[in-house]
Amino acid sequence: MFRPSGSGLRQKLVSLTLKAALLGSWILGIFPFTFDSWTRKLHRSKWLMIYGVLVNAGLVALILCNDTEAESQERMEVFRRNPLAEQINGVHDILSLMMVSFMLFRAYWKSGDIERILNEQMDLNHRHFRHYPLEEWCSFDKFVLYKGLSIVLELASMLLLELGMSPNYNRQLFLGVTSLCLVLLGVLLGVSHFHFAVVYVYRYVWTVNRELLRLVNELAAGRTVEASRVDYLLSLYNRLLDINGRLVKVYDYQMVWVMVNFLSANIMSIYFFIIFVISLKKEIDVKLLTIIPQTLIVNVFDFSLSIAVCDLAERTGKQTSTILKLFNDIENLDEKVARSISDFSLFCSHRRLRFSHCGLFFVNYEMGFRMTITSFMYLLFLIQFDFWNL
Amino acid sequence: MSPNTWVIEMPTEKSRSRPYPQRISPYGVHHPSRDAFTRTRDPPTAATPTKIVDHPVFEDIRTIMSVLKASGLMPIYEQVSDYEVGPPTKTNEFYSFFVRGVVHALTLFNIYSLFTPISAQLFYSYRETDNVNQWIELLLCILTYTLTVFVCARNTKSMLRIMNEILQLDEEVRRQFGANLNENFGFSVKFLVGIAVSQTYIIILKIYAVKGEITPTSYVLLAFYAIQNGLTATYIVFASALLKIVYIRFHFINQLLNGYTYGQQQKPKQKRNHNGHFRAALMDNFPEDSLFIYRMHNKLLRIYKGINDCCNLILVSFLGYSFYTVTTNCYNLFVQITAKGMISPNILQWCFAWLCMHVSLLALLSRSCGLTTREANATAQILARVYAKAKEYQNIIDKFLTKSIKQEVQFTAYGFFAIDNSTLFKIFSAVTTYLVILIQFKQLEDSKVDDSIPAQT
Amino acid sequence: MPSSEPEVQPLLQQFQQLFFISKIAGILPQDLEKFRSRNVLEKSRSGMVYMMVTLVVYVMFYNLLIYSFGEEDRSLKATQSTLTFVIGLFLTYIGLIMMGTDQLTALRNQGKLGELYERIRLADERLFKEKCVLDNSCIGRRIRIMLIMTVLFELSILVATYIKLVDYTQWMSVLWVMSAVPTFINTLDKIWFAVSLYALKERFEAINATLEELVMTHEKFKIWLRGESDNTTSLDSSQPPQYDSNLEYLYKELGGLDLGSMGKGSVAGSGKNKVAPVAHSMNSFGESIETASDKFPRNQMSSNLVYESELANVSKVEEKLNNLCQVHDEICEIGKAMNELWSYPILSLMAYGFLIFTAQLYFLYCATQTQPIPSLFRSAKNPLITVIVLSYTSGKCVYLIYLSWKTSLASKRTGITLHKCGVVADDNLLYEIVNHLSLKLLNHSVDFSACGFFTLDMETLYGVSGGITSYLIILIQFNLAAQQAKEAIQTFSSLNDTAGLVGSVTEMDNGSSTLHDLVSTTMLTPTTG
Repeated sequence: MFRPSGSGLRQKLVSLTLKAALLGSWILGIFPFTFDSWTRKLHRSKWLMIYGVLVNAGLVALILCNDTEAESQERMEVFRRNPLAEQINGVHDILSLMMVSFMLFRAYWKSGDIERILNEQMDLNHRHFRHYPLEEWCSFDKFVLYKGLSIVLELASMLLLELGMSPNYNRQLFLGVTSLCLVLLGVLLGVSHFHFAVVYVYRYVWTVNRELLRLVNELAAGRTVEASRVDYLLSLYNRLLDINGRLVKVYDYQMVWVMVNFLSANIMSIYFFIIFVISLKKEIDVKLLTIIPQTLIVNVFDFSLSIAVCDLAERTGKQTSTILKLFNDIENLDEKVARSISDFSLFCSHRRLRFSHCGLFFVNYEMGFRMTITSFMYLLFLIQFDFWNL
Repeated sequence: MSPNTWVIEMPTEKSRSRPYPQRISPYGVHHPSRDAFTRTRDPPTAATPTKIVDHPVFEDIRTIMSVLKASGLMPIYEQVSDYEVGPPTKTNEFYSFFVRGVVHALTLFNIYSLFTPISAQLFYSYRETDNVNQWIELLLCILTYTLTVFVCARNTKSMLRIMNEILQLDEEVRRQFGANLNENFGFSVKFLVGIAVSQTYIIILKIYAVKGEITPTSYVLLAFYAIQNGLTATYIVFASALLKIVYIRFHFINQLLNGYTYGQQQKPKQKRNHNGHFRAALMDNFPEDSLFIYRMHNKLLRIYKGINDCCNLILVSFLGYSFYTVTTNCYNLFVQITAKGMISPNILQWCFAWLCMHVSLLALLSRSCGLTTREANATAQILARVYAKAKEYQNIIDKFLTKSIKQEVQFTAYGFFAIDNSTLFKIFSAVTTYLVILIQFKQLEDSKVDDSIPAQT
Repeated sequence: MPSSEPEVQPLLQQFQQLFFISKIAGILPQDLEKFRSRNVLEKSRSGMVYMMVTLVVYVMFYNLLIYSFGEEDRSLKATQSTLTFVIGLFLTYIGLIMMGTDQLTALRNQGKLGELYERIRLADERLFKEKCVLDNSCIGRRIRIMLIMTVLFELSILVATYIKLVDYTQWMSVLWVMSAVPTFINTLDKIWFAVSLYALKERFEAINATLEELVMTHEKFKIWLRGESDNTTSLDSSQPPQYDSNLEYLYKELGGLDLGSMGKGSVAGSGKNKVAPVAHSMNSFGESIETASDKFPRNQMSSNLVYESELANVSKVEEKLNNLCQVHDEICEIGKAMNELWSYPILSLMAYGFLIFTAQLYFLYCATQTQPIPSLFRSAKNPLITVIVLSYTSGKCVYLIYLSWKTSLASKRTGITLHKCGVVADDNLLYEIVNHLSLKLLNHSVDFSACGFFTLDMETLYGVSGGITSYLIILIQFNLAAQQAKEAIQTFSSLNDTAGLVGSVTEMDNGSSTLHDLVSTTMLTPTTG
């Protein structure tokens, strides 16, 4: 599944990214599966789970022990000025730590489902999609590369933030920061499992679309088409939607938590920045100007990537219906083929490729826009609280 | 992530093995009921390819097209024939590059001048926060225009493809029905004039507001500022005009289809409608017409989506800029009206001019998008009113309706939100919310200032 | 075939009293005589003139009311912040704007309103042909109930405010009556819309009911077919259940004819459009009997042994289903036209409801903090009156939204009942017909919206309540902050005075310098904090 799909540099980078992600997940213990190359299946491994629990617990303990060293002078001033900021910060820290443990717990709890889903995806890939030329999946490649880049950037920005804001460097600080980064890496990789799976689903749906388009072209050129091909594509589509549904069910709580966490981190950092700069009227030095905006930018980049992949998959699912409409242009369509197309379009109208987390919202650009506007409003409310803090 | 990656292999009409049905003269001559929408009384003669005639479609929006071509936002295409446009010649391409280069250079100069005291003459303020407001507004304006230029440069080929598709569609319609789908686009010229007038007015207001002698740099900056706003607005008017063109064609096929509905079929055949609308058509022609209509519908949907993809980012930034401008101008207006001191007529006029321009542009955009979207989604509804006894006809109807279940199209701004008739309302409710918050902040600030003065005495 | 004209009662027949009241109040300009005699709405020039005159009179008196009761407001203006004043002014006039919108829209819609009810009548005729049962009498009842409730609410608000909060020693206070006029006129106008909407919902339900009848009849038919082979009950007419059912049917038919003939004569008759009542093969306890019921009235008298179901005869039922589908489409179009006619009044009502709700609650809060509030909102000083006002306003808005939502749902249910027909008949040909028609029905949707800005369904209600909550929070929060600021300033200024006195004392006495220091440090702290 991870072999390079072409000879280009891009494809090599993609396979390298995917392999690195897999390796990182194994090392940090968040991917408790072993791969049996003979049967091409993943198997759950209890030992890997125990290993993962130990590693993560150790990292969290390290963070908690070395926490006090990472508090910077600027943050202390902000907290003195505005006790609300301190409360929010405390709540956020606790929630972040809880998030790590929750993600791990849920990944282990649902590992059976994940195993089945991944096995089915690999099976689909091997049996049906292996034979299609892979050079044209540039959106897939781009996304994988961006995701790898965003993980690296997040780590780098966290390092910069912690090391840059801290006044004194000592061993404890480095220990704390390293464990924090590793935990963050674990969270990011756990989330990226979901996104990589989604981008594979997108890839397969795109292939189905292309096959349908080929059928239309053949019909338009006057050749005949077998109804069984359409039925075969419909069965593939059905399976893909099914996999997608199960995938979303497994990862929905984690994704909601992660999204809320990142959004609130954004709001809070802007808020602290505003308090620091405007209310406390401190000098803006280069250090402050580079550190805080870059965390924001990296966070926003990561957030928009996660929305973009779901939106991409949703859009591709919508394109299936549009392509099916092209069959209207064909005169004198064979009755069996017409019926199969009709079944396919009825299926598409009932089941959509959409990502709904906990039934609360659909993940697409519209939701992303609304979340941005809402976070802006929350920022305004928070500023209001600070304004009257005489 | 180009959304249109699936269209690589779409067959053109030439690759079909069977040409579409030839139905030229018998229907054009013997059945005058087919002849709808004709403004000209000329018989539909086949245009000779060597004769270069003005395009019937883009004739209507010629003024706007020429403005956009001159400013490098549209490619200066070549007319290959009556119904085809080709890519621009090398000279024209070079001209477009040159204009865009000049624009980018001026943009860089503009940004540079914002951060240096060069532009201090132009951007005065009466309050600290209003300076920030002006800055953000200026930056948004620059961003919008630069984005427009970039996106237009990148989408040259797609724009040409869209225009070609529209022209091919017109050619087919003309061939089948002898109908000229012309329409009066006077609104585009009126808007152009309005934009020019308002920008000139704004420049004059700014000149009067500036204290002291105006340097040539300031003139340049001011002129560029007006050009930025004017051209962005012109592009929005152009997008609305394109949507109106698509609307007319959707309306045409809906009218065609309307002739087959049970309401029309039940009217007596002798009754003639003199308005030039489609009358009840013979049910016998339904299979052929339906095939034509389905094809046209798919093509028009593709054109609609193509226009959406071309304008996506520009619409996002323009709507953001517009929203911000409307909010700040309403706020400034409110501050002026309720100020305890003198009311400055300069600022009042400034605010009114901006508000008028942006509100009318937003209204135009919302209306065009809403009309076109509604018409595109109406085809399935009209088809649902066609009742036919023959099984074959019912299958034809079912074929389309099955594939149109829950397939409403939307004109979106990069997927962030849909633009239609309710957009204006949503923008205004958001503006009101932010205004209330801003005004309350201002009042708190005022009371803080007012109350700290007596405390110190 | 009985002539359709006398049996199909026009809907407008139920609106007699409402039209009379509307005409007097100046809400509708149509001709009174023509309405009385022929139940049609036609343009009338004199009506138009009368309406304009009433509009001008109302506006004049309302302004007089505001002026005479606004004495206190003018003194308030200096102390109030501008925003509160502007909001107060706007809220004062929004009732008038709403009333003006209603009346001007009614003027604009003069001709179209008559056409609308004519279309409803034509649709009724078609339904009659398809043997759909419609009962218009409940419409008249509804109108009466709504009128009574309106009068009750308005009077109670008026009288309560007048007695408790208005100084009725002055004779100008009689003008207070004018404050109820805009809402009264608005409610009357909305009663027209609500009742017409309810009528449309009834028609959708009638179509749904007809389809359900077909289903039930066919089920009985199938049971009867099975029952014949089982031979549990004989078809002997001497058997009590069958005999009862046939008699029951006869009674119903006779009763139906009587009512029909009665309905012609009276003006506000029962308005039942009954052709022939549907025979139910159920005894009085609602238990089903193993006989099939008959759908054709003409054959009833002759033979009690003919058991038929329409669904068994596919080619005939296709015609009927097609016609029902077309009528459904026609009613959806009527719904859309009705939405168009009343779009601006509904929009202004929703805006009014939203603003008044927020304002009333905000001024209630201000009144509990004994802050000054505009004179027109003096009802906010008394919580009970506030509750009545709020329930009246919100009741109007919520009822309209609820009714729109229900009508929309009823129109969407037709497809479901149509599919039931297909399922119960289990015939390939019928399945194809049902599939074809259900695709058509999917595209007949009627969604009511206010000028296209937002749809009138329960989701909007949720959004509006969220909006009201957030605006209230913003306003109250800022009010709190302003109050705190004022109190702080007052404390400082009183300390300032004390400091001045103490300072002069200490300068004279040179004693308690520590007190002076303490006071001065207290004064200096806020400016640096």
